[in-house]
Amino acid sequence: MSNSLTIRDLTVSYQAEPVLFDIDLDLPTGQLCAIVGPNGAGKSTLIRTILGLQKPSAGTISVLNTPNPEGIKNLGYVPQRSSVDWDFPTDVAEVVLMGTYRSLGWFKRPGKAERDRAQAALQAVRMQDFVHRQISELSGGQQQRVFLARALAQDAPVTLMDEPFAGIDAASEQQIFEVLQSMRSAGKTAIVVHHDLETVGQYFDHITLLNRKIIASGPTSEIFTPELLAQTYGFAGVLKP
Amino acid sequence: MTIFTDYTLRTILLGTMSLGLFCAILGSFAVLRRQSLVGDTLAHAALPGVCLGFLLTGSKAPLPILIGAALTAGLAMAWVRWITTKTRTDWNTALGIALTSLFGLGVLLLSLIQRSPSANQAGLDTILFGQAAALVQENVIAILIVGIVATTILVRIRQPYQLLAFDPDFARASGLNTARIEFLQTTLLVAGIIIGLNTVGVVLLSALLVAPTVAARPWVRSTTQLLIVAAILGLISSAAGALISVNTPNLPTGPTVVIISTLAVALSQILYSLTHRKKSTPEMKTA
Repeated sequence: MSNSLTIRDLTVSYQAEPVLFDIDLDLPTGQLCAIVGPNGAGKSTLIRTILGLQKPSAGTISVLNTPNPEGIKNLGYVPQRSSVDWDFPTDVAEVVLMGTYRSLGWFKRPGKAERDRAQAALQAVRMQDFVHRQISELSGGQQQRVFLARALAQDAPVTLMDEPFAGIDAASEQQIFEVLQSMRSAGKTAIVVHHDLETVGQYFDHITLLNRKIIASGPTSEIFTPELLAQTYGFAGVLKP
Repeated sequence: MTIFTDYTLRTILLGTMSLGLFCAILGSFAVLRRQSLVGDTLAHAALPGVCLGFLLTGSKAPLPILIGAALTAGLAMAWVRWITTKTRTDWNTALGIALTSLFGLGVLLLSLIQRSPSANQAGLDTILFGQAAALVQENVIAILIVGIVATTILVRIRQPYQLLAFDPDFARASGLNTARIEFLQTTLLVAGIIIGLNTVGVVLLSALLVAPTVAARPWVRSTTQLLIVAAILGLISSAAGALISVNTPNLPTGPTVVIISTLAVALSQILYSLTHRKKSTPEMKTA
């Protein structure tokens, strides 16, 4: 089976200061893949580099065996919820519709096909009753589900998610996990930056441990071990058996 | 009412109102993107271009002057982008550098021109604060044509533009040509500035681009509503400012319009805080 993501010799620097070194990474298709590591490990930088938002100083990235920048077309994206202004004057329907813009030209308005796709995405995250709700009136969990719906509307084979479980209620967390499972059933790949070591073993099939470089990457059963986690986080104290 | 029969009054009113309307729309997305200073920078940076246009042709013919204005304004934005990508200077600082240095250059050129013996230069300094009283019908027609073309373009591209304003990373990641939208934003702002040079002048112009959107912002639920409400507010404040100034001796139109627009912002904010007690939702604070 082909890789969803292939990275070779990647180095990323901010203002001449390297953040990620010597990244070689192969992620499988059709699985839920977590990227785990301490604060400042470069998890978001890795995601942003894969999406072409951050220029690498060296290395190559391919998505589904298509080298970037062409490969980026295979990617959906769920940014960190705190990265946008939720007071922006818009409603749920418009935000989800933004997921369909890639398939539209410059001057084309979204038509019925795009609206249907957005509606289906909203149903998948169970937000169909909030179509005309202002985004400023949503709870954190609802905001996150709207972002997830927007990524579903992108209809991409591989979706990158930056901390989709951060700061949300238990019900939203459960619903988001269910959406991830149905993405997997549909043969799609999710690559998720995740911070919660308590749930990572339960939610994900594949784990990549990252701290400025790749510590380890593979099936959850092989990677989610006290030794490798201690190596990633630099000390043994974070571990709970 | 002589407004509808008197040529001068009608020209001032029509010119100022349409300017208020178009500038409100053209500045709206820059404000939404928290780039309000961009309009101000472009307007101030237009001054050396106006002077160069005059120096090269020796006349106040509108075309060379407007081309000069557009060129130096565009140059200012290119310079700002260069500064922010090549150095660690942040965006607002770079805008400040471009604004002050190009405006300074403009003032320098203007005083050089004014010392020259040519009689042609008389009145060129109205470009600083505008002179609505000197508007002629051709000016109004130019405002209408440029304004209609520019606002039509903005309304047509408002969906990708809205995505860029709301979530620039997502816009870029979904393959949107954001550089092209940035370029269009600059071009549309320059269009708004060019049509406002005669009436309001380079120093105060950005108020027309920014104030209506700031006043409309708390009350609207979508960017479409924002464009409509800002346009109406721009139109009304300009009309009110023009009417007050033509009926009061020695009250210049441009500054009056700007003060009325600013009052509209204050009124909007006060009304909003009186009618909307801030409710804090604990869950949203976790973001």
